[in-house]
Order: sequence, then structure tokens, then C-alpha cells
Amino acid sequence: MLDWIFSESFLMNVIAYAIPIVFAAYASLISNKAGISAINIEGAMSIAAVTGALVSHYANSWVIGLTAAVIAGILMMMLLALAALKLRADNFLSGIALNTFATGACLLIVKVVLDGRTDSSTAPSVKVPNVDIPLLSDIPVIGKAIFGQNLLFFIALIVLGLLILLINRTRLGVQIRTAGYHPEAGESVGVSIRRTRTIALIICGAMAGLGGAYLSMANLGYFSAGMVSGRGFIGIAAEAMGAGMPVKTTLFALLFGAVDYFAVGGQTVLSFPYELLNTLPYLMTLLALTIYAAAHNKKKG
Amino acid sequence: MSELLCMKGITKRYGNGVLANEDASFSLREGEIHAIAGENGAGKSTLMKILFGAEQPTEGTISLRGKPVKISSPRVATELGIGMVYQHFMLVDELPVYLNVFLGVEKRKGLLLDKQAMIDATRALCEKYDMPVDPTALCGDLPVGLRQKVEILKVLAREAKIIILDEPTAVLTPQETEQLFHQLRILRDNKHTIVIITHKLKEMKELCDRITIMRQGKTVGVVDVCDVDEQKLSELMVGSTVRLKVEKAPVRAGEVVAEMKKVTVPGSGKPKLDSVSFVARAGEILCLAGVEGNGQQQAIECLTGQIAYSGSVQVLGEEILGKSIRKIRDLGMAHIPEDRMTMGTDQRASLHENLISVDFDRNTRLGFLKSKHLKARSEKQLKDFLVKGERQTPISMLSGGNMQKVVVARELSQQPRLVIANQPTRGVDVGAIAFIHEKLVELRDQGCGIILVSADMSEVFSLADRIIVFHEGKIAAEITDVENTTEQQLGRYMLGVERMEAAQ
Repeated sequence: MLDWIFSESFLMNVIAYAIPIVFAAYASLISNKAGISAINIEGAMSIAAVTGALVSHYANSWVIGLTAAVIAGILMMMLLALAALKLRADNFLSGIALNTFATGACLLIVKVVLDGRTDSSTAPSVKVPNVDIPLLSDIPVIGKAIFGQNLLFFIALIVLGLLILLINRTRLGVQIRTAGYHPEAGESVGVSIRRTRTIALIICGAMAGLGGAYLSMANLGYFSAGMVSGRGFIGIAAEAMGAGMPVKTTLFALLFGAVDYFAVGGQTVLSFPYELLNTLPYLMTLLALTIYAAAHNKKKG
Repeated sequence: MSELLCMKGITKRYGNGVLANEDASFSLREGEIHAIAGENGAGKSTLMKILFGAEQPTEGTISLRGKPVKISSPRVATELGIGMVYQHFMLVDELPVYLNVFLGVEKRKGLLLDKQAMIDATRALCEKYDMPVDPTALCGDLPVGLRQKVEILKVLAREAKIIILDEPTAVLTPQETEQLFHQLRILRDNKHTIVIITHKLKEMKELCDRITIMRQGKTVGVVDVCDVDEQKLSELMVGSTVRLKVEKAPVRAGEVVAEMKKVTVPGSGKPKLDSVSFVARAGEILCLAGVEGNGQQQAIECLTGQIAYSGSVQVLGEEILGKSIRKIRDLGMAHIPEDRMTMGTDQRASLHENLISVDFDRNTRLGFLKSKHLKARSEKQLKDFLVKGERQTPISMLSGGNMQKVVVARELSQQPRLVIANQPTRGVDVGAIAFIHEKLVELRDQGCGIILVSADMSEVFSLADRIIVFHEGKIAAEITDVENTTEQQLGRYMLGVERMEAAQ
């Protein structure tokens, strides 16, 4: 088992499994910073996954597919903005409703487009390419895992840098933090809280879009119903555990990615009932949501 | 000195009919420190909110440097060089001082914030006005006095020439107050014009050049500080009030229904209640008078079990420390809270639901509500208390007066032995006032003890059998002969000009 954990492919796969969680965590991070909970990251990822898969197939271009996925993610978050910010519906209930909507909508889309199927394996996605950085990817053990990853891994790294810069060094970042910490103070000096939160949700939607696209356009070559399977929630939990700090959040997302891969990869290596291993990601989601709720309550009271 | 600003004929009527300002006027000269004084509810804050654009006047005109202006929002006010320091600070605790100072008007270099420029600018302001604030400290880590400085810096960073401060010393210790005054004087010397809302006579005398006095929404006078003494000021502020006629039998005070012994409630800086002791008796209306923020609210919050305190509070013979509000109510206490919108009623519920909210769980059979009985009871209460509204009407549809009658109906129908009535007639129409007064007197005559908090002088004089005056968290006076006490005398105790030696 130790051989397996310290093999090159283990680290490679942990990162691969963590990427969607990382994006979900960033989505959660930016919306929470602005003081709005985007519990529908899960649903937005799934809509983005189906959009990316189908558009890339029919347009025969991963660039167009990826762009479409990002737009789909943003649109889902704009629905949340409409419900929770403009119409002042309950933040969480709107999110839950949008998640339920997304589950149904994804199935409907695939069924309509692909004549009654529940996955798009007959119309495979044009995949987002892997990047192989010469020389660096030849470093033993970590070389392939880090420098031979999918393009979206590098996008995630860039996003991390941009997020840190945005939050700490820009006017929008200050406004987003104000909207999260003390909205009245912002309003009192003419910072529109609704506008700020809407912008945060646009960024949040784009992140969810990238996460969803990774699942159907990089990890797997097609969309399959239920393929997000709680990664959106796990991302939210990773952000909660990272206490809204970008680097810490990324590390927790990686940890969750490791557990996720452990459950799948462990089945062939470990003499352990695979049924039990299969429960790991779900147990972790449960744990993660509990942690999230606890952190949320602590913040409130 | 030239006239800088002039507000004329300002009337503010709210949607629910409450008149906050009526034909009020206000003017400022360049480079003065000007106080706006008056009792609670005199309309000072509303007038200043109008000046800052946070409220729109129903009628009236504002001109700045001789030109008429329309101040439609705080943003417009800011552009005109008017800034406001609220009593409740609008600071983001999690951000450093310099970002709070420049919140909304951040300095930038390209796309990124120019952190150093903001720190330098903040530091320059601090030095110019002698404010010892570290620009890089987190706001949340600062004590109240310094947080207030950040608010002032915020206003200065927006280049305000007219600075309004809403009761700036309410939260400060005496040393911090001294420091603030020093800084305000520097501001004045730098051609800023300062308005402070206050009701502390001492501060007006010490700091201000002129005082505008307001009473019942109107401007009753503008005086130069050097021309008047504290005595004269307090008379102007209090005025002479009409004593409403309330028929009541001579008082027959019975056993003690509530008692506070050396009760202290800590505050930031000085305590909000400072070792206060008093008793309330059955068959008597005891009025706790005082200018807002002098401790009478905390006394009520102690008695009703809402806040922690040290010392001893007994309600109907039992020590209430650690008892839930429900337990305290079960002893026989009824409470008409100050704010009927948030505490007195549930705005989402119907009249019936509001009426049964305190005891519906005691009117059940096999776990089901005795709805017939409760409905009949609610109908009767609505009839008895002359509420204009049906049982099923959402309470939010009612006028302030009728809403208050629902609260009074619910509380007084509990056969209480002690009623705590906090501003029971604030914002209520004349008819409802008389009715609520009658009901309170009726209960008193039946031997119930009543503790009344009121900012309305005429209410105090028409109802009280005994008055305890609070000043700065202590009892400044106890008046037993209400009949032969004048408003002016009460006003002097409330404003701290005089205190009764034997009171504490």
C-alpha cells in the first residue's frame, strides 16, 4: 500500500481528483467573501459539465466548449443573484432549489440532445489538452504529477494567484470584503452591496464552470448524470476549513481530492471491501458539510 | 462670519403619520462649532439626517453658500462637502484603518490599490489633527475612542467642510471626550464647520459657539453660548408642557413588587448602570425618567431579564438572576417593550397570533390548541382595547397606535402584578394615548405595580406617583411630590445641572 501511495501515479491522480474540488472551493471563497453563500456551486458545476461536453463535441473545439461551460456556470449563479439578491428570497433555499433544478435540467438536456441517453459517451467531448512542460516533467515522482498535468491545473494555479491579488490588492477586493463583513458600512459610503455581490457571483460562476468542465472535458471524456457527485459541496467545505484563505483553502481541497482518489484507487490495491471504500467520499461530504455548518454557526454566533 | 448653510421650513412627515420635524430651521456660520440640543424625539437627529441626505424632507429648502441645493442622498452630501459621524460606527472591523478611511474612495495605482499612498495620506491627516491612530492597525482591534477617530478621518478623507457628529461623547470616557474636543477645536481652526448633536449642557458650554434648541420637531431658539447659563438652557430645552388630565385616586402604595439593590451594568468606558438601588411598590406608578442613554433602559433590561448585571434584582419577591424571561413573566410581570416593531409584535403574524403568543401553549387539550376559546378571547381583547382591526388581519397593516394597543391588550390581559411599560405611547395618536393611560391607571388602582419609562414630560407628570431620575447611570433624584414639581426642576435633574443629595 505504501508503494502505491508513494508512486508517481498516486500524486498525479490526487491532483487530478482535486482539481474540480479546488475550483469549487474558489467559487465558494469568492462568494463567501462577499457575504453570499453559493450553495448551488454543485448544480452550477453539473450544468457546466453537460454544456462543456456537448458544445465541445458539436463545435469540435475544446476552447469553445470550455468557454460555454464557464458561461453556463455564470448563468446559474446569475439565477441565484436574481433570486437571492434582486428578489430577496432566502439565500440557502434559493441555492437548494437551483441544485435540484440543475439535476433535472442536466438529464433533460442530454436526453433531448442525444435521443434519450443519460450520458454523452456517444458524443465524446473534445478534451482540454494536457500540458507537458519539457525537462521539469522529467523530475522523478513529482515531475509528471505537477508539470505534466491537464491545462486546467495550470489555470487553477493562475486563478489562485489572481484571487489573492484581487482580494488583497484591488478596489473590488476591498468592496467584496466590505460586502461580506459589514455591508451597512459599505452602503454608508456609497458602495453598492448588491452590485458587489453580483460581481462576486459572476466570478463564482466562472469558477464553478471551470470545475464542471474539468469533469466532463478532461477527467472523463463525456458527461454522465450525477458525475459531480458532491464535489461542489466538498469544495464549499474545503473553503470553510480553509477559513476563506486562498492557499489554505487550496490545501484542504487537495486533501479532499486525496481521499476521493483513495476511495477509487484503493479498490485495486487494498484488501478492503470496496463497498466500504466507496462510501468514503460520501462520508467525507457528510463530514465536510458538518464542518461547514459548524463553521457557519460559529461565524454567526 | 458669513452664513454657510441655511435650512428653512423643514417639515418631515413619515409614512405612518409621525411628524418628526415641523417648520424647523437651522443655519451655520463658517468655522463655528454648533450644537443642536433638545430632548429625545425633539427631531435633532432627523434634521441632521435630512442635511446629510439620509432622509428627504417633506417640505422645506436647504441652501449652501447662498445657493439652493437638493441633497438627495449621502453621496450628494459628500460631494457638497458634508460629512456625518454616526453614533453607531460604520467601520469594517476586519480591514485596516487606512482602508476604512478610504473605503469607497480608494487610491489606486493602475488596477491595484495604492496602499502606501493611503497609509501616508491617513498618517498626514492624523498628524494635522493630532489624532494618534496607527493607519495599519485593524479597526476591530481599536478601542471605541480611536474607532471614532477613524470615522472622523473617513469624513476628512472625503474633504468634508461641514462635519456632523451624532452624540459623539455618548460612548466616550471623560479623557476621550477631552481629547475629542481638542481635535474638534483644531478642525474648527482649520476652517471646518462642526455640528454636534447633544443634550449634555456641560459640553455645549465648554465646546460650542452657538446652540440651536429643538423641541417637538420645531426650532425654538438659537443662542450664543456666552449669552446663556445652564439654567436658562435647560429651561429652553424642556419648555413648559401641558399636563394631561388623568383621573386617578390618591396613591395607596402596597408591598414591594420590584427591587434593585446595588445593580451595576458595565459599559465601554463608564458603567451604564452604576450601583443603582430602588424599589417599586404595588398600587403605584413609578416613573424612571432621564435623557436617553443615562441608564433607565438598562434598568428595564435588568428587570425584564434581558441583560446580565451584578448586584441583586428582585421581581415579585424572587431573585431573577439566571431566570429565563418566561420564568420572570410567570411570576406575574408584564412588559410593554419600547420597540413594538421588533420586540412587541411579530410583524409577519396576525393580530390573533400576536395576542396569543405569550400563552398559547398553556391553552391546549391533548396537545392541540383550544382554538375556539383562544379565538373568542382574542375577539374580546380586540373589542375591549378598541383595536381597529380584525382578528385575522396581519399586524403590519395596523397604524402605530393600533399596533401598540394590541401589545397593551396582550400584556395587560395577563393579570399582571407588575407592569413594565417602556415608552408605551411613543408615536401613538392622542386618542390611543389617553386610552393606554386610562388602562395603566386602572391597573394601578387595582393594586398592580407599574414601572414607566417615558421621554415624554407630559406623560411623566400626568401618570407618575413617584419619579426616579437617572443621570449618567446613577439616580440623580427621587421625586415623591410630583404634583408640586415643575418641568424645569425635573429638567435640571435630567440634564445633570442639579442632583438630590439623598438620592443614591
